[in-house]
Amino acid sequence: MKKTKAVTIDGRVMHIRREKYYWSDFFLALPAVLLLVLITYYPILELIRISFTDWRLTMTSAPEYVGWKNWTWLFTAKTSIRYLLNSLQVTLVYTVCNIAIDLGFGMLFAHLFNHLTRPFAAMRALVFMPRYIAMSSCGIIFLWMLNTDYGVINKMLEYLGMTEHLNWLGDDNLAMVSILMLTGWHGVGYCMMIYLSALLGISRDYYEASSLDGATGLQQFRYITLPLLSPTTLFLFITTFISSMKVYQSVDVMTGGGPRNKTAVMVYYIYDLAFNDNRIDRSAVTALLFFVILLVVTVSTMRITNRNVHYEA
Amino acid sequence: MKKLFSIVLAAVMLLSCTALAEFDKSIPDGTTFTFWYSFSGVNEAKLLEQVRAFEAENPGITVDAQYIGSYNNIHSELANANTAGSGSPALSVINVPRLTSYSKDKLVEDLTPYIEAFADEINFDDFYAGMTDMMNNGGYQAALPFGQSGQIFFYNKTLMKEIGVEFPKTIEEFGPWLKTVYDYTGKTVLDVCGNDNAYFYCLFTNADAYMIDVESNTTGLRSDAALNLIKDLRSWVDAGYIKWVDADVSNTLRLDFTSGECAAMLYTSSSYANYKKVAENGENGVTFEVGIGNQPVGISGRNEQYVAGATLIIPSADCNTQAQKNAAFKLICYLTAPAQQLDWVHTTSYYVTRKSASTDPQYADAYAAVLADLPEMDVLDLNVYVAKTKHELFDKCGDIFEQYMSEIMNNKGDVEENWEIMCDEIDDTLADR
Repeated sequence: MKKTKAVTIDGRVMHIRREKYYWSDFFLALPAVLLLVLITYYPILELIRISFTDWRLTMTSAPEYVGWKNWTWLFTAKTSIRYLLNSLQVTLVYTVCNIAIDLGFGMLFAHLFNHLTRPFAAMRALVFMPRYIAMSSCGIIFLWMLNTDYGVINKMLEYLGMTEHLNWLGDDNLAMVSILMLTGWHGVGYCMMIYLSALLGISRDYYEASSLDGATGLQQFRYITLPLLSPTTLFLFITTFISSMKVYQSVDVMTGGGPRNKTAVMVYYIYDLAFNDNRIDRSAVTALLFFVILLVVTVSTMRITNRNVHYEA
Repeated sequence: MKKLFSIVLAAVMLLSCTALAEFDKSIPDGTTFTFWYSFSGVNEAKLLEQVRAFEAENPGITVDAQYIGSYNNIHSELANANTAGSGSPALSVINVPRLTSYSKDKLVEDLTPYIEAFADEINFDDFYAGMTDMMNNGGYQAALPFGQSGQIFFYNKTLMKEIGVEFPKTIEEFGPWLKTVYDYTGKTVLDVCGNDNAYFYCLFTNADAYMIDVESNTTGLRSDAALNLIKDLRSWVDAGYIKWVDADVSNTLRLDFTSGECAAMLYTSSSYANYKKVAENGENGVTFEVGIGNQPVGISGRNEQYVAGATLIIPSADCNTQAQKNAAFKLICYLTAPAQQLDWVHTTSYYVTRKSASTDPQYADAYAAVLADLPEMDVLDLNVYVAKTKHELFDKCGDIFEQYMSEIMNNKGDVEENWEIMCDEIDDTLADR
């Protein structure tokens, strides 16, 4: 085999060295690939297998093959459709709001604290700090703060003149707001840090040139900052989207899916099927459906938003 | 000769079969087993003290007692160990509602042969029948009672004396009592734990309205009695007499009651020692005496309570030897013995599970000591403590019941409309078995 290959660049034929492939490269990557297969792809295949069995969590005999029974249940049983649609709707509402809060406030804080001085560094640290605290601990603190009669939030609102205490965790609409307050407070610091590093990567030349042309601060933000932050925004959008769709811990600690299933997100429903109803089989089909939804939405989002992303920076 | 030989051979085979069927209750020295529990704080300290005392009495047995977390955590861990086929404890604490599926799937040992084999160490008939019945599914004794609690009313005894009223004994007396206390204090009279049907369900069953009618596999809540009771409760909520607490329940109920924001509450009996201490020491700004009220007698003429709380189970997993399971049962015998139960109750304010603890003269001093510190325990009538419907979907249906009760009580949803939807949803769930 020739050591070079001919390629045409700008109408000129050039000879470049062929890439060499060695078995040693393959074997070096193999452990990582095997690990990935073992902890990611094998469980998915196992989930598919389980979805065709009658596996209950507490059964001591081996699960038996039941064909499409669980899939039929998923799409035809009244209870399944009711809870599935509810949890999909709740998850979607949570995801949209959480993305807006995390990305919106993340970008806002990044702009506010985009100064390399000590006071601003301290403020950045303050905003990022909740990220270091376990979500379950944060949940318990918020539970106290949001207590209807004794919580500090209602006491503060009382000082501001609100006479009626808000039932943060028991009201149909406020329960979701409470969870969003917790997850937003916990997650916004991460988005801020990512945006900050991206802001530092934007060349000052763009701003200086636009200033000479008479651009206002708002125009600079609209026509320079925002487009050049789009790769970062896409990255944060996708990661926040996936993590929001998979929200569980905050819901479990704060509301347990209530009131009246108004915060019963998809993962909570899947957990409930598996560990409260002991129906691993039904939990598996629901999880697979959720996996497909997540995959389709993520890929579509990436395709759609990629068209508006500018990588020039 | 041939005939005689056949008879002898048959007799030998029969004897060997009998020998095989006989329960092997041996526990060799050096037996160690794992015990999972859910108790924390002072309850955990008392449990571990009793476990150490058991080890001192049985030097050949070592207990590896491990705190796992809530009942839900223990359930998940047990299920995981079952699936993995290893790591299961020889003894575990679990709450009552799990037992139906555990015994159906034979995840736990049937304790009947153990009870027979260790008859000299445990008097099964001495347990309150309602408690052991709840843990028995078609002859399969899945567990024995340990940290039992019930659904009772706590009330401000000092306030009741001041007003000159007694805690109501029937559901008919309830409305007038609520009004009298409300007119006097101008505050909420009763906090009800609304996020767990266990507490308010007794009011329904004492009105002959059951969540599941096993015969028809539909809900028994679709009855006039249930609807009327819901209407009464809603009218009391609307009047400001009752607060239906369905979020952050434990904190809210404790703070409302001990700070004098409400005059009474419907919650778990196991909180008695704690509330009594806080209220009598005036830790939340108000000092008062705490009284206990049983469930009011409903239109059925009964005032039943349901078996709830912690039980002791022996997982059936093969990863533990028979000797380990025997040692575990020996610890069950020890922990559920009247003397240990009285000691346990004194710290935890769980119910006494053995009849002899309050009747046998040999425990009179210990029982008197319990009553000296927790006098209201005497008010509790453990004979009205009965088994709830043993249905694997009971909890699932209970969740629906709780949700719609909250919708009606707190979201002011239309009573009849929500009650209809609730009954439909429970029926759908039962049909989806």
